[in-house]
Amino acid sequence: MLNRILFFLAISHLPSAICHLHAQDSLSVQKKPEQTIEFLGEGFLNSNTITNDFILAFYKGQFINDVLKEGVTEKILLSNRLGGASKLGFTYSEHSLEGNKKPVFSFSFFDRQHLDMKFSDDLFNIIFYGNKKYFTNQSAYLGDFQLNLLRYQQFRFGWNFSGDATHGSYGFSFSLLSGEQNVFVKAPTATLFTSDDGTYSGNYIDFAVAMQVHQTDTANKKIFAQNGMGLSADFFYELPYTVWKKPGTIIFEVKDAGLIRWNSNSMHYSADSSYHYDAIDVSDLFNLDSMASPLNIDSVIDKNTKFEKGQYTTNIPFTLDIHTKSFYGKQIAFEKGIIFWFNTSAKPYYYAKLHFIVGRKKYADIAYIIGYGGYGRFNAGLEAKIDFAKHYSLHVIDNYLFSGIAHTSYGMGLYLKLVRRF
Amino acid sequence: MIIDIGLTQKYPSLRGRFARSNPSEIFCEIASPKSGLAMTLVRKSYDNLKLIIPFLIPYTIYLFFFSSCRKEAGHPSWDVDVLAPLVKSTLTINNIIPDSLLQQNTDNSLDIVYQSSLYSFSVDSLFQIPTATIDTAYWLPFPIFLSQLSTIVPATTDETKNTQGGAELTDVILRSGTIEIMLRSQVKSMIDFTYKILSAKDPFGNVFNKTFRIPAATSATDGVYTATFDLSGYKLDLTGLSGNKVNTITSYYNAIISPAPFGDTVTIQPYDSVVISNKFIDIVPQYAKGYFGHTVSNIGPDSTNFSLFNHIIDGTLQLEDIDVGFSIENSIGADARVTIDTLSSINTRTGSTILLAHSIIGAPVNLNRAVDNNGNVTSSTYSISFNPSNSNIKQFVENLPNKISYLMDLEINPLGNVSGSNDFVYYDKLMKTQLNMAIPLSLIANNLTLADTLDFKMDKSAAHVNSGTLYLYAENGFPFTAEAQLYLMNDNFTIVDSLISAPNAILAPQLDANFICAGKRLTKLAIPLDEDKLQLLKNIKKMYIKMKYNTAGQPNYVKIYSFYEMNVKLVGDFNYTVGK
Repeated sequence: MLNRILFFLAISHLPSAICHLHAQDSLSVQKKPEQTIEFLGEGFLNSNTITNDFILAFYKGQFINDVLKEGVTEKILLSNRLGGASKLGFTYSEHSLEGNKKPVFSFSFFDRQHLDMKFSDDLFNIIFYGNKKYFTNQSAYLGDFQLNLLRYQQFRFGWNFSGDATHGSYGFSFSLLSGEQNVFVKAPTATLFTSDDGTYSGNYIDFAVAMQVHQTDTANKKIFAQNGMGLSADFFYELPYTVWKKPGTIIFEVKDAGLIRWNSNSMHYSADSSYHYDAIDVSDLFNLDSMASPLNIDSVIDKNTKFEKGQYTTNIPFTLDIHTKSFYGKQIAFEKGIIFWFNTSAKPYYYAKLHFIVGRKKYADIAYIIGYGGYGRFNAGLEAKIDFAKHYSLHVIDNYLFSGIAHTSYGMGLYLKLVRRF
Repeated sequence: MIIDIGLTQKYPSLRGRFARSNPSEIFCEIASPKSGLAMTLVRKSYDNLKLIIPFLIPYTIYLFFFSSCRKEAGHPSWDVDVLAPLVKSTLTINNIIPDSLLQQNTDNSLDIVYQSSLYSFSVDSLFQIPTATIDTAYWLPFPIFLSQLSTIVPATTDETKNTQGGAELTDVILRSGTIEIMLRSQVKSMIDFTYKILSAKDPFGNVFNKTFRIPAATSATDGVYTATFDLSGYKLDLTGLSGNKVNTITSYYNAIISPAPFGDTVTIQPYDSVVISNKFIDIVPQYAKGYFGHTVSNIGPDSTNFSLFNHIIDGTLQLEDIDVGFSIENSIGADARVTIDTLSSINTRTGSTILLAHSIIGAPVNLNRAVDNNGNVTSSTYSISFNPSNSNIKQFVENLPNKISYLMDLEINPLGNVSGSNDFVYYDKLMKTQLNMAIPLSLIANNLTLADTLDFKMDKSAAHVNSGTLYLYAENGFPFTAEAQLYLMNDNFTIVDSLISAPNAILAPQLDANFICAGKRLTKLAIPLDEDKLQLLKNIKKMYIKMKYNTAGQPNYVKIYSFYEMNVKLVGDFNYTVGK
């Protein structure tokens, strides 16, 4: 695997150019440095239902008590979302000489992970409360379920072109993707009915499900394992404008539009069946070893299950971000926008940032953030971009800064980037 | 100066280093010599780049280990309340009484058919095979010089007659057994000893003929030779050389000085001896013929186990009818006379004994000899039936015996040797007495209690059950009420707790005018399992099950039909920890 990384590292060693970092992964260029290298680590996990305490207890392998469960069920909806992503890597940029209009070239390597889940309230209750409390003599609707776990490594090559007063800046990049793992489950229809009417034949469980499962090679799960290859592309266009004598920019940005083709060792399972279960049949009650089968399903209706191996394609999650940034003097800017998530369960994310910009030699930008949508509910946080030494800048964003205050808060995450200019 | 950045330890095929080629220029190189690929970054300002190194190290660590930290955390767990049917079964009469004991009548009513052997004959009670044929010593009172191949024990033919009680056997075929031969010599030379049993022939007609070499004796020890030979299948002619004797085994033996490297002659010292002995071991005849003598044997008092009611520990059982056949089958080629002095039903649990009252008791029964047609034996059988009209057999059986006791007299050949010494017996064709019971399952049960001990081991998945209740749904189609209880036993087989809370009776359905069940009746029993009881269940290895039956429609008898059944389903309602 490392050979492959080195291969891409090697071919990225292209002639120097004056650089300008790529869109949202970069800081604004202040002093036309020749080269920059930046280390980026970001991740978030958010839900409109699952609280942070619940997630942390689950993650740490703790006992999930009734308080944690009730924290979820108080706000649970018919359809719920849980999602997250992480991105870890570095970017090396080479800038052209001052005044030169050559594009800024950058190369990046990122380890990417995505989690996307959509589930019903009944599914949560069945899993964490069991079938007795809410579903005796009732149907639990477990459908409209989707789970997508995705991990891949990204080798990105980008070019940015600076604009002027009449022409916007723009940039594009393409990435080679090395697919590591994917688990995809989709169950549009699933119901579980638990009957207990007090009669002998009235004790049974009916389960109907239509589902598809795709999973990459489970025998090849080591770090940076390669189970597929893919391509993706990014694009942005930044157009300056002036409204009411206030300068501003509007930015259109597409990130990670692409796909991964998984190899032929991938597994596919599909089912469209109904099951009726009313106990394991034993021929001799005093000898439980006499059971007919370990799990005796009394009747299977429309049994249509299939298992096979083969290639498949995953459209990776990508975003379209449209936002504007208006400047009110040199020290205040207001930014607002919307992010559309594709190939995920997330809703559009609306956000606004109020920037306070200070400093001349030492640049500092502090922004207050509020947002709504995505995988979660309302969120609020802070963003800071600071030049803290002659050649260093730090960019920190916490969109869920106030989530840690309340026990039943939603969402957690951090964006951290360190830039070294040469 | 070159600094190896340490990648080579994890990836031996890589080379990574920072190097300073001159005071103002450094380069960073990561290369894979194996693949021929390399990346080199050259930077003129060493001072700037060195500041990145502190960030590279934690960053690399984070990159490699971040994704694995979750795996080291424990598994989350939570409690759920589960309601699910667990096991179900349909109980028929076969689950109570083995189907091998049941016989279905044309009206679907059932009879219990049960056979019990009272007494079985053995060949030993007729005669015994001789145990030895030779036991002799040969010696000389004065010194003698013998050359090689000289005879030291002359050829001798010997007839050994064994008395077999009153039996006079002429032919025997051995089923199994061995002969052990031991030779002891004080002669200081090897001796070749030849031994034949002239009256013993193997299945191919060859006489038993063996030659042994006895080791030379020394001044300190005798020369000893021991051998054992299998005699299975050998046929013994016990009529001697003349052919008109009985119980006689004919043998032949002789001994010579072995050709050996001790010189031409051997000196036999005074009183040097050669001792020859043999014996038959564990001889079992397959067939014997002759006259078995006139013998009178007292059999018993003795008892035999009667297992039909083994699991009944309490209560009473009234049977509407019963028929017990008693038979004596004589497969021996000899006349016999049997007198049954007593026949008793013994219930050791209650201490009750019922003596059978019937005209056969105390009266001699003559049994003709069996007929042998070249191995096809035609037996002679005497049979008699005990029923409520000619005996007290009903009380005899309703005593629910676990033992049958008997005292009998057996006389063989009461009229003497009327067969001309043609009595015969085969190993597997002897005389046996048997009780053949046919009990129609038309009965009245009063608190009839059956019990049994079962092995028990809680399933591993059940170990995560915290508490709950098991519900037993029983649709009873039998004409009786059954009170069920399950007891937990510790390692010392002591009952420490019970499972089913009261009421624990599975109720009987309604009976129609003919005392036949009109459908089934549902009963739901609860088995509460609190934490203490579950802990007990996890530890015990035995469970004691007790069922108490009371027939419906009393005081009328109810018949048990083959179509009766009880549907049983166990439903679990419990709190379970997932992921523990």
